[in-house]
Amino acid sequence: MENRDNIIEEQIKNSNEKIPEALRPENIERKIAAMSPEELNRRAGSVDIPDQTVSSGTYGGGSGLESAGEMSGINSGMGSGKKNHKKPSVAKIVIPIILAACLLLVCGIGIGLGVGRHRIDEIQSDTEADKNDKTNVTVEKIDGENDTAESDKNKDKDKDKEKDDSEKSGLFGSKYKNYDLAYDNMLAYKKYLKNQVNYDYVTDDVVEYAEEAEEVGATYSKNEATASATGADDATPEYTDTNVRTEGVSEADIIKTDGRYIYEYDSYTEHLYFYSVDDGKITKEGSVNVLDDDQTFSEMYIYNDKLILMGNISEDAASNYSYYSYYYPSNNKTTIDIYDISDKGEPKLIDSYTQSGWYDSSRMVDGILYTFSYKNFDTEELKKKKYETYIPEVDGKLIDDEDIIVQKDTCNTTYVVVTALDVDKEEFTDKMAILGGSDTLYVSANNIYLTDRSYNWNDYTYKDETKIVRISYDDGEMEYEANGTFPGYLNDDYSIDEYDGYIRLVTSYTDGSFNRYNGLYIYDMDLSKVSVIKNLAEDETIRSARFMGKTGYFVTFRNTDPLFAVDLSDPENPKITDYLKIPGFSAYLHPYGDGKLLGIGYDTDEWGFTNCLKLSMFDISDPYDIKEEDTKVLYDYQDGSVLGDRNAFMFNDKDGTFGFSAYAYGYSYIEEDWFKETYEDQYDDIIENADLNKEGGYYIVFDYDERKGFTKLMDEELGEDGLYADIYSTRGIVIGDYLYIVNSGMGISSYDTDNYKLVDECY
Amino acid sequence: MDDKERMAGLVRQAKNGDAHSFALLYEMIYADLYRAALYMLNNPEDAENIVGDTVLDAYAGITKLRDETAFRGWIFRILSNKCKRMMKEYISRRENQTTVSMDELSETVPDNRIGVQSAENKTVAEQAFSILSDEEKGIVALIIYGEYDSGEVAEQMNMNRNTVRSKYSRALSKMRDFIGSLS
Repeated sequence: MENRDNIIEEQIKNSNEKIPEALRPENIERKIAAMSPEELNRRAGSVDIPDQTVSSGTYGGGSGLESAGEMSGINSGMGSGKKNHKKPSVAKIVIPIILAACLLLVCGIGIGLGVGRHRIDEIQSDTEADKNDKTNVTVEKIDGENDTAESDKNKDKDKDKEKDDSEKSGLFGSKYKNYDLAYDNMLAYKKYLKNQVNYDYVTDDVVEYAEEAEEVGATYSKNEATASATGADDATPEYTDTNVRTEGVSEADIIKTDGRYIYEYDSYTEHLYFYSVDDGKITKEGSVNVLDDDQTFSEMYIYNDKLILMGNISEDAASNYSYYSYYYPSNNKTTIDIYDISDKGEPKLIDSYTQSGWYDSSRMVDGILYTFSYKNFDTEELKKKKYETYIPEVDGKLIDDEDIIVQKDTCNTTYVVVTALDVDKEEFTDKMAILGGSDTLYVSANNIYLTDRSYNWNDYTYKDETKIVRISYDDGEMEYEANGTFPGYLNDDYSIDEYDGYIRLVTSYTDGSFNRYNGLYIYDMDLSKVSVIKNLAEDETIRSARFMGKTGYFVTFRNTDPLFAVDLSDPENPKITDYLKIPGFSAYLHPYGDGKLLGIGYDTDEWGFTNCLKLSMFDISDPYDIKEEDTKVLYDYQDGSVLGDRNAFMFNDKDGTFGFSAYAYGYSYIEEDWFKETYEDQYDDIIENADLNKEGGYYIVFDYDERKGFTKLMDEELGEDGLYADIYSTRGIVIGDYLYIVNSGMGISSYDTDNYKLVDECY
Repeated sequence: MDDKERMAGLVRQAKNGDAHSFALLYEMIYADLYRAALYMLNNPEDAENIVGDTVLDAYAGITKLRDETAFRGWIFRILSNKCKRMMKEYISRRENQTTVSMDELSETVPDNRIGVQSAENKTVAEQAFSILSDEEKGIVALIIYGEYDSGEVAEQMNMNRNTVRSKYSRALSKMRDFIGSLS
């Protein structure tokens, strides 16, 4: 597949278009030279030029700016550039306060000095608990104020104002400690941006790894682990609920059922459709326009007789394009709309809530909805007295000072806004906003983990370390507990897992000599490191992971699939017990009954080019001897919804059947030489096994039996013409004895699970 | 010296107001800029105007480019912002078409079709792009010409990384099929 993609990419890239005369470089140069100062000025202010406060794709993540420039000056100035893993609980209260003072002080001095000050950047290495673990790299930068471009001079006035403001707060303090801290961070960041005219390139030796001998221990305490997550909700056995990361922690999805009604949102007609289902019979009950103008749908929940709809609303949509608006001064809000569906399933609005920023994700536990959004502020709008220019809001009210958390090394203008909403009591029970980004979110049964891969502002690359914050939650009350840093980065939220007072994670990282490795790390709840296994699987990266109690499994890949098993029963001393090399790789792992692990991924050739999907069943009953018990290559299919979105995986734990939507690209190139060459080894298998003319989106269901292996139960085209079916908007739900295939905007069809024959359709 | 280093040096000089350095930078990417605009908009005149507009904005705002090695990504951001607005305008024009009379339409709405070459004059790539949705066009153009990776596109479009990957892959497959059907 990758190879086929390369060919078409090259074809498009080298397409020979006749470029208009006016765009020739010499003509453009003439035009540039002829621009009047007014035009230059006007164009410099164009809204289309990326806002510096939010990084562009090539600048790296929109989050995770840290310890660079101005900010590191501050950190090192107060001698707290080093991260303290040991005492995060103290850091929680004391450090922000000290920091507030130091920030103000240093900002003041910084501004006072004005020209030509030096900045020191301290970068701390991976914090091996033992020795030789610190690599302090000192970076000296000459401030480029002398060279600051013309346009910046216009802003001197503003600068003076800011100076006044920060001095005032520095001298007299304020009753809003965290507001001040947030403000000062943003101000410092703004100045940092302005000063980015000249800088030196510095390469950092970010992480120094001591070699550690890996020994496979001779003893193994019997694996008592059961699945740490299963596909269905035990409390409601009659239907398969959305497949989630953590058992008991519900996740929103684009399609939901309560066993009697199925809800799907059609973005084309912008209506929420609801259908009643009964033994395979589907009746369309109605459709409701659930959105205001400028509101967009994201996903939903069903909880008791309520439907909770998560969305976004943009108040100034005229100038905000739907998916680029992230880069505009963000006035976007996350919306939470609660509907009563007790009357024949018909949604009736009872309550609406909003919180600042783009909807990112949410979880629901015991009737409490936890909602995560990203709120970015434009530093150009920053005004000390106008809190709304730098403090996020919930339901139009500023989040309280005590609920604002500014991380000590944050150099960022994006908050993660988190709220807890009691759906029964119809009120927010808690809210908080953490200044600092987040990319992978993981929610365990008691804790929320925000992780954020660090970005290095010295050489504009992602660092090989990730920041992590732990927030505990209990019945709607949230508490900021600890923060820390771990080496490498996470593949997704299956790569991190909390179990019995420990946090285990697998990451991919690059060592000082640019070799790629993977590691397993165990931390305690204060995010202090307990143990580590490093230097695993050189040159490969982690593609999937699954922790199941006292055992963990993860897959690394370059051109074969080593599935590693690791014994975690002694957190101080984790052991790799076995690994298995097979062709291809699994991108999603799901526990399958006792002692088995289902892997869904890709079949690849010896060079690692992916060809088509593959199912593997691993026997993991003996962690010292894991085996691939059966494998099935799905020659027809090249893409599967489950590989991008776990919510798209249907697992019926009543009978062990599972399903997902998959896409067949067809083999229209089967006769071409490049294809024959690339897939030389698999060519005969493809000819023999693949339906060469099959193209489009399909829903497939399998069963597994130890003796018979994988059995395909169903393979049905999606909709009337599957060619343009969106497999990622498709869900399979088993209710009673019937499987319902629901596609957002394309209706529902039902199948009898006895024979997988079509029973009913409703479009 | 690789392209990126060369670009960084030129960006630094352009920041000091050197128009020639800027023109050299432009020379390195203008074909890609134009192709991206043409394929996203499917209209050569608008593409020409938008590239011109983008370049002048970029020159005027070059001091805002913090990462000197990231010139390509940065200017593509400006371009795609402009294209996005233009596409939005196309959509609203299309919606208005149902309410205005044909006379008005021909006068006031410079429709997509006007100024568009007939299929024979189009390159295969341009035709292949025309079968994609606006979103897909954006994704493919940013990845192929802007040299963005899927994570960067995801960030810019506020989408899931995997969704970008799958949409990109699907778009390529559509194009491949389309090109296959031509021959």
